[in-house]
Amino acid sequence: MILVTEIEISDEEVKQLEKKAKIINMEGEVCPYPQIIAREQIQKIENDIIIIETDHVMATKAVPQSVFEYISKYSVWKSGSGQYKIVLWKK
Amino acid sequence: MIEYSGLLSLILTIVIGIGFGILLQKGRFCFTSALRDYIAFKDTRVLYGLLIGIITMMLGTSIAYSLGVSNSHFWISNYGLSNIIGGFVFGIGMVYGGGCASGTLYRAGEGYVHYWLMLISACAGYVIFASLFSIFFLPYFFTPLQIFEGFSLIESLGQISVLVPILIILSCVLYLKKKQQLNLITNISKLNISSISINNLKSAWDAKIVGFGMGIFATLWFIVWGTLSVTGPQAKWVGLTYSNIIGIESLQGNIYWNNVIFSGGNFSISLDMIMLLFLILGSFISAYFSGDFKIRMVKKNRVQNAIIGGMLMGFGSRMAPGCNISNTFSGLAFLSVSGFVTSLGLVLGVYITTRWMFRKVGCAI
Repeated sequence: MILVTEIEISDEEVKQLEKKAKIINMEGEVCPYPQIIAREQIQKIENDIIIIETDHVMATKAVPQSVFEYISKYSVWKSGSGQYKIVLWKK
Repeated sequence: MIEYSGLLSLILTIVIGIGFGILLQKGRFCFTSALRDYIAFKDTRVLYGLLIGIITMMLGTSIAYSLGVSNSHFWISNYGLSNIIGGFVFGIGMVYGGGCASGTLYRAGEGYVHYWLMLISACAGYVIFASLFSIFFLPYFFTPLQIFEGFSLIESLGQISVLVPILIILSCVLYLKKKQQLNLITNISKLNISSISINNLKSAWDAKIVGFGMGIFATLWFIVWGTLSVTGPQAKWVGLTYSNIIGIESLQGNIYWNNVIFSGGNFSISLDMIMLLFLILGSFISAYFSGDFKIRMVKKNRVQNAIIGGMLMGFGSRMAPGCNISNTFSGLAFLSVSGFVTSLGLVLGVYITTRWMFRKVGCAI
């Protein structure tokens, strides 16, 4: 099992990354669908950076692990009101 | 109506309930995730936490037991085919619905309408099971389905039971050392204590620390009340509510409610029921201060997951009897045969459902 490293991210950095990233909206989905959708999508997307918008707390841990073989690192941005943006950097 | 052995027990119950809620929420701790995500992509985050929790509870309860806690605090079910069937059905429900008995509770506190619906469906599952019990299940529920008398190694060994967890830990270390895989132990015991920080309330806690905390709180609960369980006291809440609707006489006339759920026909609020409410409250408090609370509407195309998953969990936990907490956590910590048999059925159910749900993207195992 390879543990993918989580790195810190600021509000400004997320805004910058959103310009070039492929954004997937998973709001409302609960386990295990975020993991399934992430695995399904990551092979099709050509962008190097993927941002997943979700409100599922568990997804912030489980989604990066579900695609660990495709990514080099990830970040989780938290709104503070139950919204998250998971940034995945593809290998 | 409230029955408790004293104010101290009530206060401890509240503290333990809130403690469990905070631990589960901060650790993003979920039995479904522990098993499903390991099968799907070999994620060991929660699984290691779960193993640490079980061994901590085994050590804690055996020490408490040898120091004089009554053996009536052990919940050890009889076993037979019902455990396999019930565990299997429960396992299917928890993967399809997206949460186990404890996971559903703490996510209800985080504001998920999906899990409120799942909780209500599980309650409906209890009512259906109880209504059908005397007609369909009673003729073969105790024999042939539950033929063997329950057995727990920890309970049966008495004072020396504390040696068992010590021997288990030692033999694991020796075995891995022989196999030159000690790095597995280092990985498991490498705790990220800095994840618990006052300065950063938003951060998630290391699931292994949470597992350890769960073991400690389960031990406290064992001293105060007995075996940690979720669906049992949940069914009691359903029974009490139901009795207010259809009248207490109807429940007293039903052998399942009267003899199994409220053993001895004692229809009153007990400490384990109070603990569950404070678990939800603890999760709410934790989620609120961590910025994880939000009323999340259920997705229309996932309503069926919540309803079918919840009902399968409700039905399965009555059939087994018991849920993931009383079997796969407490049951394994007590080294109880029914815990192992139910967990086997549960893992089978989880495995088949995970393979089916991840069929398009494939599973690691």
